[in-house]
Amino acid sequence: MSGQWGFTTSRPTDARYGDDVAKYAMSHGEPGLKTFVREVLQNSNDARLANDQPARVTFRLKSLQGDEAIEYLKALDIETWSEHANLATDTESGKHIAEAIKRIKDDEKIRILTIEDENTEGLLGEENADESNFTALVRDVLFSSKSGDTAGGSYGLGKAVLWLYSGLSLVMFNSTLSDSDPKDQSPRLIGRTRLPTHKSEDGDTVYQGHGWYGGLNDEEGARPESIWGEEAESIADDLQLSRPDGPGTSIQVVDFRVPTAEERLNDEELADQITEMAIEWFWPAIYRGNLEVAVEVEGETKQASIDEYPQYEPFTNCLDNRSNSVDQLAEPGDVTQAAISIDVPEKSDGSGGADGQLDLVVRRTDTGEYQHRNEVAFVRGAGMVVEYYDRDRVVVGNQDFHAVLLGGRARPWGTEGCPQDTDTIVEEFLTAAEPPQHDEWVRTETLANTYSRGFRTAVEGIKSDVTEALRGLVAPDVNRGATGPQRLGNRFKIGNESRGGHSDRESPSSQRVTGSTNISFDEVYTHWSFNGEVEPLSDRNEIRAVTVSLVRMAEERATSDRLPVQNISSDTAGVSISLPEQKGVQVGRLEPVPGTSKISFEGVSKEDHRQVETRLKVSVEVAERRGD
Amino acid sequence: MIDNRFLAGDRELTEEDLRPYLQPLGRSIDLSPIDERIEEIRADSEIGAQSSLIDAELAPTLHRALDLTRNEAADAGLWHYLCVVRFPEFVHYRWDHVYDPESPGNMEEKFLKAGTDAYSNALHRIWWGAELTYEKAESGDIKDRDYSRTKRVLGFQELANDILDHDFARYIPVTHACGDLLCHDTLNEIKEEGTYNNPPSNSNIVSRTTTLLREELTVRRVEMMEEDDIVETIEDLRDDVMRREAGWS
Repeated sequence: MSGQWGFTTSRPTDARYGDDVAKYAMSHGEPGLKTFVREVLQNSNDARLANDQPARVTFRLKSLQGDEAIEYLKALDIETWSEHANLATDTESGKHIAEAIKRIKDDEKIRILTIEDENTEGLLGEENADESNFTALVRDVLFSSKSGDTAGGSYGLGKAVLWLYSGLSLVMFNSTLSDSDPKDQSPRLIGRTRLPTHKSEDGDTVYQGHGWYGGLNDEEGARPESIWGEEAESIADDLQLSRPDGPGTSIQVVDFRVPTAEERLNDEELADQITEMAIEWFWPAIYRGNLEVAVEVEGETKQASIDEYPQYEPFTNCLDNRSNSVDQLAEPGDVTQAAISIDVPEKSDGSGGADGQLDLVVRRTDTGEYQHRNEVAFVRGAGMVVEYYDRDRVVVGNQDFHAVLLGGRARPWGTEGCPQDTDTIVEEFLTAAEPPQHDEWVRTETLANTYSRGFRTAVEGIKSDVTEALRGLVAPDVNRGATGPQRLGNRFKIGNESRGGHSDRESPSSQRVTGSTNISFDEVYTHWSFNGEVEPLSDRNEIRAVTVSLVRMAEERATSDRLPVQNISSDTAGVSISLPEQKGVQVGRLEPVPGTSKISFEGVSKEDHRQVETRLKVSVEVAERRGD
Repeated sequence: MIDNRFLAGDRELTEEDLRPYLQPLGRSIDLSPIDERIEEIRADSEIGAQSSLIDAELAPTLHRALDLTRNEAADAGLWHYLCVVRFPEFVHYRWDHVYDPESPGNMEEKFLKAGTDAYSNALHRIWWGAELTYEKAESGDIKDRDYSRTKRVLGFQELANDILDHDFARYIPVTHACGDLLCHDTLNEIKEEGTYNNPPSNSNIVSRTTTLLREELTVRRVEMMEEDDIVETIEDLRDDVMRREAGWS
């Protein structure tokens, strides 16, 4: 008994797919192992059953060779699958898949990664349900069935990594359901491949690219459906995909590879990296006892334990010692805390909205604690570190620190308190502020579509508020005397406030725009490359002009010297570009069409043989938005 | 208390007026040599009021008489006392031209300021100018110290300003090199050799060379440089400036 592959057909006029869109979206940015580990663990973490037990996840890496590999591939019905895959070689991703097939056949060797989770919901839901774990993970593209307020993921994009990390774009699932299915018996087994759109050899049939491994039913053209019960168990055995009795899902990534790796790492190296990344990104969930992670290579299992990665202990220490926090970080190991307020606006439908709070817990670094030093781990209730926010520049006077920013349902962690309603509102807001990779809190489309005015200030203010709070907590404790230090302070102002602190001296644009800039020296062309993005803080304003100049720095402050801008470009539509002179030195000027809010640019300086510190100065003219 | 009337020289503040604010230094210093030297300078017909030569001429006496540690010299109160109570006439004599009742800040800082700002306070500036440029005597005796470089630097206002106003001045090898390589004597000597066509004015050379040096020090740590390297760096920058090839902007 075995399953079979079936591919969805489409009409010749339907859209064709050169590759999977969700896969493409996930591969943008950083498709190293980090994305994979984060996404996979987040899926299991979100599906944890509502009991006191942790979700247990085991990564099992195995390289099959010779007969074992041949048997495995047979059980996988690789012949049918290859016929389709070999018809799809006219696209870039199709070519890569064909190469992978050839490599596997030549070497008689294939690497499989099985991710087995326990104490999770399993692939609940009918075959064609509108919204279920099953359809979300296996069937749909860009749909998510997660509840949205507390789940780690909310886009339905994360699962795409499974196919991205399979050289064959082929993933098998075997699941024991937490609720027994009225019709069928667990386990439930199904496979899924995502190939480019392709035609049959005779050219008569167009296959959309989505393929399914399962049991064929009698209906013509219908896709194969899940195989259940004993039959599923037997096939799972052949596919080395058997699982323990408890509820959960085993996912097998066939021909596992890291898409961007320069060379294929061996199983041991991969296992080590997976373990460390599990700790790096999920230490809160692991520490809280909500998640256990293990990695198994050649029958040997290694538990991912925070004890073995002491570089994350300063963070767990923040939570351990939160109840003994002190006012000032006098000694190494001292923990202090501060509240960061967050004003969550109402949703567009008038619900929600709250004066919320995030808790910042800061621990003074002890000697020898170098990794992630002066970083703030952003965490919400899902228990995943969204981002390590580097604040090395805030440190003055050797008060190095490790900090955790606890938001949403994570806010009371380390105290005896429980999350309040407000925390749930904040949790939901922060979730909406995470982009598909869930690696920062920024303005997203989901935020814009869900919340009314004010969401932007709320989300964009988090980092600056954290920085401000850190300054208060880690600044050296100076005995402030009378007038002397004040006068001194005015001359050596640290931070973004204008010198002297007179608000009327601040340039209006510094309060009215936000954005980011970047400048670096290009050794090959001996010039500076720069880029940036600016937008007004208020939706009521628009950008009228942007002037970019390159300022020479001296030891203590900027000089009046400028390095000429050689050229500048913008991919913002309708921007007119010029290179006028200011005080005899060429600068870059961008003038957008009316109604432009965000404007991005990049450019280079003239050749610079001196290579001394040079900064980007961006002056932005903003004005009230003109009528549409 | 330091109001426009005081800054204009129309009102004096006595030790009695300031009594509640004064703190003893902990030792007594004989200031009479400074009084005498100021008398001599004011009597010297070749040194006009408000001339930077006043600073140059007073510096050796002031620095010898005020034999302070740098720590003591960083106490702004000491300089406030000397300028406001003890030597206000001198401050007026040297700096009255900067007084503007509409914006009294420039004059105010000649009496006040000090601390880590070596540029502003009238006496503090002279003391630090000397501290950063004099040569110790082999004998170790204060009276044998060599202040010739101090005189060259303080006598050339642009050079004194460019040194005292910047961070590199905290490192003696740089201030000594600047004093030696950028003083009038050295620059005039190079100009007389005729190596450079149409070189800029001495003030421009100093201003431009020190700016380039400050830029250079964003990528080099001056404390890690050998003294020869410091000299060579300043010479190279100066030569670029004299050739007018140094990115004048």
